[in-house]
Amino acid sequence: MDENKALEAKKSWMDINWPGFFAGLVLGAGLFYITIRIISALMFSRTAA
Amino acid sequence: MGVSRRGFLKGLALGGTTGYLAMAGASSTVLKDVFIPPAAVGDFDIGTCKSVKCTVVSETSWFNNKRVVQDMKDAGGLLVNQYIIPWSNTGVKEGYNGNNAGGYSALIDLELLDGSKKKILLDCGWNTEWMDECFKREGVDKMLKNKEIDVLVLSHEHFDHFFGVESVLKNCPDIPIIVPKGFYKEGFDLLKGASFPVAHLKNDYPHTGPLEVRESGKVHPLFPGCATISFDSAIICRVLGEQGLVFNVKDKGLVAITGCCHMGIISFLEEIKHRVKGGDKIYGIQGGLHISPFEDWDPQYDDLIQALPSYGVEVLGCNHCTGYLTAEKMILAGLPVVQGTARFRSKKKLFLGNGDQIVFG
Repeated sequence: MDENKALEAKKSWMDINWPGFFAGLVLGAGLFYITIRIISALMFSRTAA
Repeated sequence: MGVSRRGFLKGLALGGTTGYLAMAGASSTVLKDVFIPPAAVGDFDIGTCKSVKCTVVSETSWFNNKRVVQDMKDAGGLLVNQYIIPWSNTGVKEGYNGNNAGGYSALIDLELLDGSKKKILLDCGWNTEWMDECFKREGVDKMLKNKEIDVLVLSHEHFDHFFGVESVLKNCPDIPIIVPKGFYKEGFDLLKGASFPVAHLKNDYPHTGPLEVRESGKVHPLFPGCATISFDSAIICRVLGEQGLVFNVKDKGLVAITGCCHMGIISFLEEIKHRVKGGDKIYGIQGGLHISPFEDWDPQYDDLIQALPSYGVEVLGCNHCTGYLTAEKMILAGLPVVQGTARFRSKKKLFLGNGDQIVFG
């Protein structure tokens, strides 16, 4: 029983929720994209303080 | 259901981190130009000239640093109007006949592509006795009398660049004069023949020629291959505005020539780069760079010296308010500083001095 539970725990730890992963991938990439766009606009702005 | 939601969130977190880092890596490598666009390069065509020769008529703005600083302190500080500061004009051991005032002035010989030549007098110094001697030494007085000098460009209204205007106007009262926007009423009055006894300043030769005020934020053509750019710089002693000259020398690149460069040499070069065609290559610099005029040092100046080589400068002439300490550090940093001859009361050979010349082209 304990052995089966351990195997189950190990298996669930290794499983990746792929829909969540790809959603996160898009979100994470999008977050960085927005950040760098804002920063580069401020860096190269001739009017921004 | 709970497990599924937790699993989704875990996947979201893992994917989010992976996506963020992956985009960071891509944006700094393969997609770099998409995220960080190359800096805009100017497109204002100022034409081309064959060569530019700059003769340092006088770079000795004053003879004793401590005295000029004390004069400003005694008058109330750096914000006091320069026209009411009683500048020391007697009893200064190192001075010119006891007068601490000297002055800055340079003669620029411009050769155009068709072989014709133009002469620009940049600034007119301070002490008229000293400037008379310097103008005589370099033949500027005769050139003025013969109307060989096409224009007097005043970089800014500071005492050491402008108060000696009588020395110019006595020889050529109708010389065209160009000033940057920001000159005060006192400056225009001086040109008309006013005097300011407190500052030991006068002009007995009213200006009768054309006077042009150049707006800031624009490139103003002067001759083929030559233009001025003005800046709205607020400067000590209640002065506003400064202009610098930019030349485009054929097969060499752009050359920046300044009076004092209070706007900052990096700001000047950046403005040239963003406005003038060919600005991605600054071939030469000449003039006062206003980094350590009183031989003081600040760590930010080290950054400035480190930034200069990125402009591709091949010939660097500097003097006057640049500071000898700056010149030493620039030489140590490998910058191509042109040495002088330390003649006619210039103190060191570290940079161009009185009577020295530099040629671009």
